[in-house]
Amino acid sequence: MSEQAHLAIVVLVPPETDKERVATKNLFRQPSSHGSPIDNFIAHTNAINKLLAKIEGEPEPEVCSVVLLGYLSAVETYFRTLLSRLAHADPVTGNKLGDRPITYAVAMSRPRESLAEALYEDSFASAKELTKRLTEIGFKLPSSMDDDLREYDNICHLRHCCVHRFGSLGTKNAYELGIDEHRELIGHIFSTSLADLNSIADSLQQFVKQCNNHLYKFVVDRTIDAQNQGDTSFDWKWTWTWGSDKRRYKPYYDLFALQTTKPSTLPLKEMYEAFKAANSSKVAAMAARKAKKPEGEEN
Amino acid sequence: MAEELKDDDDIPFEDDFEERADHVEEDVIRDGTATSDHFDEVVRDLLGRGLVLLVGPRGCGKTHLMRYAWLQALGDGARPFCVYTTLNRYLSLEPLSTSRRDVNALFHSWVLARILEAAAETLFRITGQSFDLVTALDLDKVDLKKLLNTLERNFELDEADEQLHRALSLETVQRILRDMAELAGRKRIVLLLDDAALTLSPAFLTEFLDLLRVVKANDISPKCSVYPGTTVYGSRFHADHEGKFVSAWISAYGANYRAMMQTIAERRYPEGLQGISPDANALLQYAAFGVPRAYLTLLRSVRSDKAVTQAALTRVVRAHHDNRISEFRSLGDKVVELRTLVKAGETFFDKAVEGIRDWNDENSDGSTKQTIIGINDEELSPLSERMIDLLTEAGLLYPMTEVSHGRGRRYRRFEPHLASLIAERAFSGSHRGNSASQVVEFIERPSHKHPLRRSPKTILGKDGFADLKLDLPPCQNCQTPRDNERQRFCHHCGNRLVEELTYNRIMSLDLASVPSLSTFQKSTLRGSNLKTVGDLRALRDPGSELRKLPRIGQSYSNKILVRIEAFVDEMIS
Repeated sequence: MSEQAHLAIVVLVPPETDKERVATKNLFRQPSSHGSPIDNFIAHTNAINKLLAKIEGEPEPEVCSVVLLGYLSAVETYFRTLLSRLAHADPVTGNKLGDRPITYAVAMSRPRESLAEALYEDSFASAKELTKRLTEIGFKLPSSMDDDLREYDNICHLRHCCVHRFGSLGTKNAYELGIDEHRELIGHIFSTSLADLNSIADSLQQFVKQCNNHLYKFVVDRTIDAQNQGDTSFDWKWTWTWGSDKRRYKPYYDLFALQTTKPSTLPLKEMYEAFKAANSSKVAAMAARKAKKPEGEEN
Repeated sequence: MAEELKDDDDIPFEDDFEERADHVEEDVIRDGTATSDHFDEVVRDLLGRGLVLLVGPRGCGKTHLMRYAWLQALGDGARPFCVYTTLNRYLSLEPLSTSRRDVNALFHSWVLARILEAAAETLFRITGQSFDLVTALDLDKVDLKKLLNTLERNFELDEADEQLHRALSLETVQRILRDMAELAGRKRIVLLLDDAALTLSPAFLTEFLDLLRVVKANDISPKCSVYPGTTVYGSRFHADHEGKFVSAWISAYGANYRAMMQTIAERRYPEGLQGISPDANALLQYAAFGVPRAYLTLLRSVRSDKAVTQAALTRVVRAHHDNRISEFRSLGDKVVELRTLVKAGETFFDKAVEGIRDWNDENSDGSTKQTIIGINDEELSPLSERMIDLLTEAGLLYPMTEVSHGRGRRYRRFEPHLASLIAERAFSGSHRGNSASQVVEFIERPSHKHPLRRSPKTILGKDGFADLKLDLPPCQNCQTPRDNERQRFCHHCGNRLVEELTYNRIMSLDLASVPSLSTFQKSTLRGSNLKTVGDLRALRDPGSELRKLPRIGQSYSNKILVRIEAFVDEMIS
């Protein structure tokens, strides 16, 4: 038996002459939108939701896996783009990431404005990894989101089954999900009802929306404290007049605002006013200090 | 001032008179309450053992009964340790759901905090001492008022609020209530939970019913006031098994009805009875249709005219009918899902009134009256039941007990609101007069032995009840109507289909839709930049803002605010 015939016993591979190789360089196109990370996230997930809404009856297990993977890919993309853009827009964040190394290849090939993207090549698909990335920039999810974070982690374990085992539940994931309830299910295939699949989709969308809101609040509120510290990363300060703060506030707004779907974020100026009102005591203290300062300088 | 009051559909405001029992002073409740056998029985149920659901439409006296029972219990050492609180602000917690996913847990804590706050007051009133909540809850600091305020105004919870929120468990609250009762020397505990219908938030209602089931114990008896129509008990709460329904609404055709109404007016609003003839007074008592608050309002309206003429009576009764109808329509504004049911309900009600008028016209020379409409039980579906319940909630239909007419033919009987029957001249006959005495004489005739039977087809056209449905709001993003009830995402744009927040919808209502504002007030407001209820509520100092408008002085501005506040309270309770 020739070696060829010996191989073909296993699985027959039809001969192909002039085979065209998969050229990855031809497989990407410009993205259609350049909105905020949350805008893109909603666009990505809504595209999946449209597929979900068209399913009649109960979904096949393969569809369940694909939906789950698509959704988590959208979640990871959200955090990746948000954090890397934040590093450039917000001096405090940029400063906190100061000791993170990037490779020489990245430094050579990328323009300065997108260097931070290289910091986020790793996964966000577990509560641990996500929390670690957020802690790096000084942020901690509020305790009111503990249950949501746990649910996110569980969904990430489901994803692990879909990515690596074609949906079948592995021992390690069963342990993470709670072995008592999942012991019997090891080796079973991930297959949900339409209602459960909807719930997973819903849960992930809500999770990201909440994170977006908490991150926004944390980041903009932090600018005030950071500006009042001695070794500030800022070379400017809020003046609390719309005319001059507008161009400072806009990059933050653009990073977090949802504009392409309704209900969308309030207009720029209203959000700025709300930001100012929420920090009214600090604003007053800053005004008081400013009033004092010239006196001090005279002395 | 004189100029401000020129507007002729305006009613003078009397400071010493209040129709809503939740605004009435305690001594007025204690001494100004007209008791009757039915009333005493309800109070007994409220202070007795077991879960009680006090049912009745708006204004029929639920709050009054509860506050009366509470006051009775305070002063009598043999009665239980009685806690009264109202849940009418539940809807203001709804917007929290946009920022937090544990809004049901927050609602849970809110209810418990309200109970504890009220319990502390009861303890203080009985013994003069305050309860040490800090030790009982094992916290450094306990500020119930602050937590309640934070939740009701949708502020962000600070660390102290979060800790209190987490510490408020049902078991702890039960333990505290028992300790308080012991300190007060009482053996049992009664929780009077007013405005517990939670009509506009099914999620809160489910949470609340669960809480109710668990808080109930041998020595703890919760009592809740609910509406007959929109309170949906869901699958986990079996209202008939968990407790007992007690109706707070009394029939306008009952034996002691007029005497009881008379006593209420004598105690609460004696000047209202001056210069009004016995027939005119009787007519108003009937037009109030078992609702004391309505009777007092009618008396007040009729007094705003120079003399109590026939024309004035007719106008006042018709206005009362119109207000009942617009209140009923407002149910559809509050809950979008109910729009079709509300629309069909109005047709149903109009036809019922028309049918009764025609019967009475034909039989006006006889000696009986017709006031009851009967529908074959088998023709009712869950949706048409819901429609009828909504009419009951608005006080338009009084439900009577079921009557069997032979095998397999059970009739459900309803009495339409008397103000509507009077306004549609159902007791005047085609060739009879419309004077108060004639109308009262007709109403006091004995009833015809059978109700007026109607089928859904004769009322709503050939499809009968088949066209009834629950409406769902379209996609907020692309306005595409939904495909089905269970859909979570829009099939056109993929956007998440959000339950529109009822609270926001009420805040976005046009000021012109507030029924109690006069035409002058509405047109003045139209000229301002205040368009919606929410616009006005958002103002820090609405009084001064209103006074910037032409011809609006202090008294007018107060009146407008009081009416809008009352309207919002009605809408969200």
